[in-house]
Amino acid sequence: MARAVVLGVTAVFLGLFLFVPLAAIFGEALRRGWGVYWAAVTDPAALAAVRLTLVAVAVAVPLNLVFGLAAAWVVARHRFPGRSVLVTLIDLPLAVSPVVTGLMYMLVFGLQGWFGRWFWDRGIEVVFAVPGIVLATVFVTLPFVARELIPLLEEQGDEEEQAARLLGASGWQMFWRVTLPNVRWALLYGVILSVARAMGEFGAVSVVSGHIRGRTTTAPLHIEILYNEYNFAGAFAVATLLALTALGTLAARSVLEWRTRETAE
Amino acid sequence: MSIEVRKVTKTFGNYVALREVSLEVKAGELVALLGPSGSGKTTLLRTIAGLEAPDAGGGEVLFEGRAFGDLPADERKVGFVFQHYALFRHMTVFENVAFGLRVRPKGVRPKEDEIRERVMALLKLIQMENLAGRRPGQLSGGQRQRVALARALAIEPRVLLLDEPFGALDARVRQDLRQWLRRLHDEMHVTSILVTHDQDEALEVADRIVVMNQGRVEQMGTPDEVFHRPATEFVMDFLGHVNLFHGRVESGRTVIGGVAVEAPGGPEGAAARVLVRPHQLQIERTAGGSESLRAKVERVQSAGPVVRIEVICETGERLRVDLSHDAFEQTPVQRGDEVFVKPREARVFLEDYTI
Repeated sequence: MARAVVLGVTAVFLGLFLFVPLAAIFGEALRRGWGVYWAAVTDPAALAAVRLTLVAVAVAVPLNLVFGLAAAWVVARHRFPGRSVLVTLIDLPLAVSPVVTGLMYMLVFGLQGWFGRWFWDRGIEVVFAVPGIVLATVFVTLPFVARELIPLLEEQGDEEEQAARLLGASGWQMFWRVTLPNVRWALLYGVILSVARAMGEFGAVSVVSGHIRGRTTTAPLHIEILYNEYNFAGAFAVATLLALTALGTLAARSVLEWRTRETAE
Repeated sequence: MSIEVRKVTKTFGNYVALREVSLEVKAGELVALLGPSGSGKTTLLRTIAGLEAPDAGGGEVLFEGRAFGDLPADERKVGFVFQHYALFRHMTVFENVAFGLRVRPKGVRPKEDEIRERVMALLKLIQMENLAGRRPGQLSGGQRQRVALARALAIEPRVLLLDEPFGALDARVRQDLRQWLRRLHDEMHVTSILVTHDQDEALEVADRIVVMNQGRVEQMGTPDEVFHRPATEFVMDFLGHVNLFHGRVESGRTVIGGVAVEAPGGPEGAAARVLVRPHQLQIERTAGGSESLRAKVERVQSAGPVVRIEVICETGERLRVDLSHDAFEQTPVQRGDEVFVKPREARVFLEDYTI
């Protein structure tokens, strides 16, 4: 009986706060028909926004894949002074509000900031341009890969790596043949989380973007602009793209969890 | 390949794991490092394997008289078997065993069919040809341990190091595997060092035993030497159950209660600790002059290879006596009987120095 109540409450809550809004996005987007939907999605500014989002993902995720893997390995395998500081730093982007992140980048790379003038003099725009957006995305997605890997590496221990070295493997052979295969699903999971976060990032990117339509607007920023212009159909149409990537992320996540269980057995 | 450990000291922070440990292992020998946990035996093994470095200026490990780094690549082959196997969990049994061959540099890497042949020969040796496609997670503990051993043997090691190889297994499986390991060693003659805390395992398998305690070597010798002529009280205590008596030196003999133990004495009146193994005590119905201790039988357990009798002496010491079934039949006793216990042999350790 109590179980049924808890289940019911959970179902109602999830329905109200997750499923209904999700359905509303698709409903709103298609309310004025497929023609309007298609026009909104293929609008040049919308396409440019999606492209910019993909560029930010394409740069930020591989960077954080390499950094996250390296940082996780260093933290899990070594004891050194400043180790706990490093762990805290990795978590910093989760603790700092994205808007504050954006402001930090303005302070450092803005024209009135510490290095902004130096870059400007050399013809490189950082804020209000693509580099700033990419930097902000790298920052907000930094923790995901490392946080997935650290507990797993610590749990697995380093005996397999030692065994590989004693059997004559070089450091690289050990990494490619033992370390990496052992964490591959967790690594992929971290990447998926990073992709999802990079695509959806609003606050930090909003501050450094400057909202130059068709040039420095990412998909979430473009949605906001359309919405503020009372172009609801357009806003919701672009929103469906983000919602679909989110659903894709969930599906990939479920597959991964299932794979991880399989290999664990 | 012979191994020489020269005055190796290893500390972890404030903790001294090894204190100037020296030992030699002859080529083809199987040596057991025996000691309780915390005695430094695993640290010593890991130092020999190169997984730990001795402290700066804290001694060295030599192979055939040379430092490991000075050996030609062909001789730098150390097979190491981890206590918890450390099998590569994402690889099949076959790939685990093949690993050491596959990671060789191009020029010396065997061809694919040669690798297959050698791996299958090893799997046959450990009687697991049928399980080549399994992953470690699908194997029993004993099977994993055998795969770990095959993986270490695949690189044709000059030295084989085993860290508590049977520690995590059932008593029955342990027994089988250690006999198997001994036969294997007799066939291959790889210089081997085995770490264990199980004295039966060390006594059964090893050519020589190194007994360790608190980072030091207590005694080194053949199983017979360490068992029958223990150099210290620790060694005697660790290598099997002992009964302890507190005695005193009187006119060149050690005396416990009314019983004089034949042993060359120390200074008159010195306190002595007399250690007697359960099988070195005998039980008599009548007092044999001053040579026995009066005691009361507490418990008789005759199910087993020997009859185990617990008695309490009138001086309060609780003793364990192991009798053969034949001897027990000649003087059967039961709980509550008054008997006289007589040590046939004893080892006497005086305070501060030993005899």
